[in-house]
Amino acid sequence: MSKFGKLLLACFLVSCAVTSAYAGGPFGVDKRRVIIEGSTTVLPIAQAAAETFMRQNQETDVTVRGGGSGVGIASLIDKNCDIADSSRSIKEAEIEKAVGNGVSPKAHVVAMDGICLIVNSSNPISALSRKQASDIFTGKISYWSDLGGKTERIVAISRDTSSGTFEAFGILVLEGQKVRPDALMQASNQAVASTVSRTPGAIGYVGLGYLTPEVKALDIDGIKPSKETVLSGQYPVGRPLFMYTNGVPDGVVRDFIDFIKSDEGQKIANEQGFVALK
Amino acid sequence: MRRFLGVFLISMFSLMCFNFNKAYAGEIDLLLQKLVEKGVLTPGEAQQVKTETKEEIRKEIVSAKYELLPEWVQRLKFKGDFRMRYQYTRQRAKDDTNQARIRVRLGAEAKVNDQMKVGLGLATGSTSDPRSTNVTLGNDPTTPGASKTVILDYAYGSYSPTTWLTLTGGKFKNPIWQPTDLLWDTDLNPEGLNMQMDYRLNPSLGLFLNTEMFVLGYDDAKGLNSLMWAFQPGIKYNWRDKVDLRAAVTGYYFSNITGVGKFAKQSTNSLTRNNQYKYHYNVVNPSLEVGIRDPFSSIPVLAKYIPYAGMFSDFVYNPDPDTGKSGFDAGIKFGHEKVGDWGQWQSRILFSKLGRDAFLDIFPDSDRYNGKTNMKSVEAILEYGLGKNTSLCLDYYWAKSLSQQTSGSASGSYLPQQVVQVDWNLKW
Repeated sequence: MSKFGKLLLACFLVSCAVTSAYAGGPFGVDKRRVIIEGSTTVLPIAQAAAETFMRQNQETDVTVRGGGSGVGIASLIDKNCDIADSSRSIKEAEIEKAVGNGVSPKAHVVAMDGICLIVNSSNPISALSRKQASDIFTGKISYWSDLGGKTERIVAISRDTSSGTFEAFGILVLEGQKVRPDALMQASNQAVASTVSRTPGAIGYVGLGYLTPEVKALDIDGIKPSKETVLSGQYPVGRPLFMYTNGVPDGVVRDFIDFIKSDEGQKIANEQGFVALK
Repeated sequence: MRRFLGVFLISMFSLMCFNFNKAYAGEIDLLLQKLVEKGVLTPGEAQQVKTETKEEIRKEIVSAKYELLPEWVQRLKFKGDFRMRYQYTRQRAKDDTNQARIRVRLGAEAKVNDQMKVGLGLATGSTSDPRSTNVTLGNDPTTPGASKTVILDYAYGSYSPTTWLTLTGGKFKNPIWQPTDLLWDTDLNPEGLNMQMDYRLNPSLGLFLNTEMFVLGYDDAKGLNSLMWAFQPGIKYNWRDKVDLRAAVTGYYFSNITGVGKFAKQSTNSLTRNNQYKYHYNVVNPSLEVGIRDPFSSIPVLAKYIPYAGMFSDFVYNPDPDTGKSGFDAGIKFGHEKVGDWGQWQSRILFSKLGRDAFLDIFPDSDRYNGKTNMKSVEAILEYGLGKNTSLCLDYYWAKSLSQQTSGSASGSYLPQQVVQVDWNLKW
């Protein structure tokens, strides 16, 4: 073997040793480590809960990463994470893949997501159907007069494309259709509420936790947006948020799930703008 | 205690529902409603129990369905694709060509046990050209409608003793990561052994290591095996789901290349007077790819149409020859991260240069200047999603020699070549 070949072999052996040592894989696993991955919608709850949980349990290390619900579930199936965050129910194909890989995805509901349509307080409209809301945000309806309101142009305010609220609104209201190109995209729920409060013809959408007295929340399909209607499943623009584990969790993973379902964990979910279960 | 009793009752009831009749799901809702009315459960807890119970029932039903499938079906996975291509080629001193070509690939992977798999792939193509699985329609003017050849594209066995280590033997899809096809045509499947280590230190940072032995050929006369060894350590890094970075340095070592007869598809590498390779190809190849999601989030109009942008680069250096010892490929891509559905699109623009002896000329992308070294090129690609798993792709190449040709009818020219490919891709 030439010098170059020997050098390659040496590099390979050193890399194996370094990778294994840093990875901790074959030489011992850290029992107090939790890896959470998945939905960007659930991400703020998981991050805030992880911070508090680690403060209370100094020996634990909770790592949280987004990537999307599909990424998180795929990671759980591949046994690369302990908890998969998901803003949707696991798909049948994913369950089949999980079962084939020896993983039993167990759902834990950690909060509810309710999205409210808001208009400027001067707007006489107080209710819309989901179809009307969809027509407004896809550009089929552009004047409030078409809905029995003032002869005023509709100013659609949307969340930016990277937000979980945008994703949820796209699924629950737009049913996969694209938001009208002239919609003003805002980077936060607060920015949407603030813009709507300042713009007479504006309509926007925010998480239930971001409703302010400066804007008017609209009923959808005759149902008022409230914690009660979201929790009862009556409100049509609501959905459960999940954390999936491989089977019934134990050890530090169980401790974390218990924490997030506790009063303290649910308070964190509420602070992040979601509907707490307690 | 009352709350615990309520949850216990629901759990037992839902278990009965699953065992006897799934239609009882509505009964759970009624029972939960009663428990909420009596103050045993809060509405939130009722919603939680209802949703988790429904999820559990759904999982049990799907698992039961899956487990009812014959075991051999559970162990098998199939995949495949079909591509219809129109190709126009224009090269100085040659006639323009117009070709209609197709490619079909069918792959299967069977799980032997929890740690071992066997893979098998069939494709159109010919055994004489490992860098292409295309077949040209009407290529035999004497036999219109002639049937096409299907070849064994790959066949391998793999062993994964842990989730981060896989050993593969046989003929397999090249696991060496390459952000461009400067050095490797994606159709070329190495034959030999590979070891892949892929370990995530944490959700943001991962390390990988590929080690490969590729059996290139055996010289009967001299009793020598020509081998390629590759060693590729690399990192994968994700920053807040906004930025993905992957970087690696690959070292290639070829044994018994010089002094042994050239390979059949040799075209541009330097040869000795005895038609043997003049130089060693023990090269170093650093690679880098960076992808950014929502790069224009502050500009709403751009953010809507360009949700992803990235850049990628390959560099290769061979210390042995005096000239033509290096090469690079650098490019950008923008549009959607992947093209998998209607309206999604992605465009890529690449600039490449590959010295005559920077790498073995039997491996690079065969569409770019017929897979030769000693060339520079520009490539522009536009892919548009026509629906789920189907897309239309327009690919344009412009390439020419780095030094004047010294043989053939076009002696003394740089022989520029332009290729336009229009592909209709269907995957399943």
